[in-house]
Amino acid sequence: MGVSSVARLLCLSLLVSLMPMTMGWAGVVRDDRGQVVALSHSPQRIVTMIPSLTEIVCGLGECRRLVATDQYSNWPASVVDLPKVGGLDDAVIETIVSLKPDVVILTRSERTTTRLAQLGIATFVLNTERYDDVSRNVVRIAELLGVSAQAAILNAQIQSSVDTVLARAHWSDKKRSPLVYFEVDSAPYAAGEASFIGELLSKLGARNVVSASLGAFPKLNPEFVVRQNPDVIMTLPSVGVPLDSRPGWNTIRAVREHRVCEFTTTGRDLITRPGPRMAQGLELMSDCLAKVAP
Amino acid sequence: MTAAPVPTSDTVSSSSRSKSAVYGWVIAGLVLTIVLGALSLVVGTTSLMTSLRWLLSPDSQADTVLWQIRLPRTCGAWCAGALLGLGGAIAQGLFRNPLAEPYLLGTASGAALGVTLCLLSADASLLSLAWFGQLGVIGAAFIGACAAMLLTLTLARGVLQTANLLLAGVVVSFLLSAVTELLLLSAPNVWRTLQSFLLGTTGFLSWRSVVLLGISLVLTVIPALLLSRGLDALTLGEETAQSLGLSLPVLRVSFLAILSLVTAVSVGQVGVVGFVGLVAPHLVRQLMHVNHRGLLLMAPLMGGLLLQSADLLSRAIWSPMDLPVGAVTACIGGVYLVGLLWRRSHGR
Amino acid sequence: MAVDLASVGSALGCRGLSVAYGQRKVLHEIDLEFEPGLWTAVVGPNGSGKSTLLRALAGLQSSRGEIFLAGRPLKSWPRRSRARQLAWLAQGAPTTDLTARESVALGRFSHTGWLGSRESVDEAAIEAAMDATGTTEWGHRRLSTLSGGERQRVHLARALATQAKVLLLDEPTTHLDPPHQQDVALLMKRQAREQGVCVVSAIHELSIALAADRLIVVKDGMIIGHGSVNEALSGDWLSAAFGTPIEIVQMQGAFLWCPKL
Repeated sequence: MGVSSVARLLCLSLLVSLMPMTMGWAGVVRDDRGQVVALSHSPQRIVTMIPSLTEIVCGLGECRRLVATDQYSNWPASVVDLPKVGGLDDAVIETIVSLKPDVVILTRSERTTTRLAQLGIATFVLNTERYDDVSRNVVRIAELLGVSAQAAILNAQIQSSVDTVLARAHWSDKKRSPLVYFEVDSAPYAAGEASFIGELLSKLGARNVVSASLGAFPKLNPEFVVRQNPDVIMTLPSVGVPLDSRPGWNTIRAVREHRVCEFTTTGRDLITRPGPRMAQGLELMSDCLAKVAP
Repeated sequence: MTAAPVPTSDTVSSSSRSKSAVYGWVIAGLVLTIVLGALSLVVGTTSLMTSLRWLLSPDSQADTVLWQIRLPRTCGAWCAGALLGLGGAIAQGLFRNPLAEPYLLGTASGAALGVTLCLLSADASLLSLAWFGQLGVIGAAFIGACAAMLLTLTLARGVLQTANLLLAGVVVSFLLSAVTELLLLSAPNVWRTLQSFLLGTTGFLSWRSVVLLGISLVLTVIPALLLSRGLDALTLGEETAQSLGLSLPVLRVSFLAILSLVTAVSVGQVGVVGFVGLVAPHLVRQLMHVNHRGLLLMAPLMGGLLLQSADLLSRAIWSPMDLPVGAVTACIGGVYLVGLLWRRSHGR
Repeated sequence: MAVDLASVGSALGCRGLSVAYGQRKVLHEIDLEFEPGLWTAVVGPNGSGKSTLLRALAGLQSSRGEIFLAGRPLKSWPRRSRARQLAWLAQGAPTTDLTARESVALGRFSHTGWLGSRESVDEAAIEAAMDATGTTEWGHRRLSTLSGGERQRVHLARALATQAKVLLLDEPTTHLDPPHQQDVALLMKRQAREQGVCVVSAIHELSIALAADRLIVVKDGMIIGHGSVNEALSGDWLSAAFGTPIEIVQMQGAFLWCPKL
């Protein structure tokens, strides 16, 4: 390495280290692809492509920086009226480009990221599937937005809400922890222990009929559920085959004794999004268990 | 003419020989069905030992799993496969095209659209669809399939032009699929359910489904057998068939009605299961020489066996998960077709 | 007119028969009568309307004008009785997975219907037809395994098996080698003579056509002439139809066409 290049590197690092001092701005943030996202200034125009990340941006109090979201982001109310730029994999690239965002925050989607990169738009890719992703994503996004101080506050808030819900989970006084089957879809696809929903259930001390070894959302042989004979069944809103009309399912304790919770579409958003409102999702499940668990 | 006449007795005995050969295969097929049916009692999410113990000393759960879940599932899969096999044989005969299959008049995409509408109706925002949700997935699929068939017939302006019918079927398929796709954009959460429907699903077949499928099978196989001579005549060409004193409109309307019933009922109960309808008649023709009477008898049997085996595989391979049964049939069918092509290109 | 045709005792006839494919007229106002017991050959250049004429007479082609079968308007015949009365052989001997015998048996459809089983009469008709065409030995071979000429004979057997009073045969000698062409010609002649069948066949090979009892010469959808072979030759209808001199010589009682080479 020549002297000049060393000098250049020094200059650059000096510049980089100076910036955060001036504007509370980290400048270089590494995303979940391991790619360094370098921006010349704290991004002011942001597009988010998945609801949980939209909610984190707003949870950090930076909702005003959003210029567009994906079509499914619906919280907080202020994002409802923002331009909608499609879903993650069918993003409306043209609209995104025309909005001239400083950065697009999204989860892994090869096609969208590649196309945006080709068009010179910075992308910030985060995994948002698991419980632990939430606090990490809060920190990462806060760094990206140059509001690191907010991250600690938001994470503390989320944590205390979660703790409150867990503390109030009365059902845990009952003799044994309930065995739960969480159906995400009537095919039937279940939420296993390895899914975000499964993690919430575990936090509540419930047992899941689907162990982590089967993957996050396995398509089960319905017979398996009958054999497991869960105490409680939770479902997302769906009009698939009703539980009690499935062959043999009326022998399942949860079905027989009506220990079933069907969440609303709002409930679905709370339970399925690893974001700042997850404590509310947890509370819904906790309430369900309190109400119907044996 | 020059050739010496062969004694009458010989030709008669040879025709009765081929007839008894078909009956032999029918019996073999039924025996295989029963063997697979028995096997199905011990294939599921439990170990073989548990299943056998259940058979010997049943408790209440064993009763439920063996007799309320596994057996109706197998019987239902067999009946649905039989319907598809029959549909395939009819479609190939009626359209005189070895690549014809039961869904070629747009029924599959119609059923998919019906299911999508039904699933969408769960979304509170689409109250106008609420009545559709009342139908349930099965009813919605059935109605969707029938509607697609009617649309195809309307577009083709009746049943007289085979080419028009095929073309209209393709158009309706694409059109309805496009509508489904557009609807899915607004509600991606139904995508997974729809997907499982489009890949075929035997998981929830109950005794009630078996009864429905069984009745449909009887109601379609018998008239099809009675009209089988018409399909034979059709192999000589449409004009020749007409010149033999056969009414083409009667033939077409009857078989299209049977085809509609077959596909709509099966699609409602097990979703879209590809390849069974296409492959079953070919497998039969590979095994034996049959006219359409034999084919319309054997193709359902073959289709039944195919779907029954596919169902067994779908529960066994990745237990306790369920593979989509349509994916399994597609694998079996694909391998078979590749084998067929390979054998053809290698001169036998 | 109906009375006319009926009173003559013609097996088949038409008045003012016209066929058009869209704007293109293929047959112009054709009047014809065919007597039972005669073999009529229809000749003419490619595209002159021979096949269309036969299809229209068989009721397989929508047409204007009137067609009479055994004195009754063709349209008034019930489908199957008409098929018992009139058999048609398509051009081109299509292939099928049926066996030869199964194909020939389909010729009895008009007798048995959808459901009826074949009686001994039917079986006998099938045997006789296969015997007459020399196809018995392929009885249980699939048509798809036979050669074009062999298939042609099986299809002919199917038409014969119907035992119809009128046979409309479109090119029954194509694909056949010369000895079999001769067999088929003899067969048509015998069907007419011995069974009193009215045989009408479109034929390409002039030497075979000239062995028929009657000749119909077609050009551009119009009849140039209808009569005996002698009438046709003295009127030189063939040269007129083909638009080029056609030289016919007579040798040992047979008429032969001499190509100018």
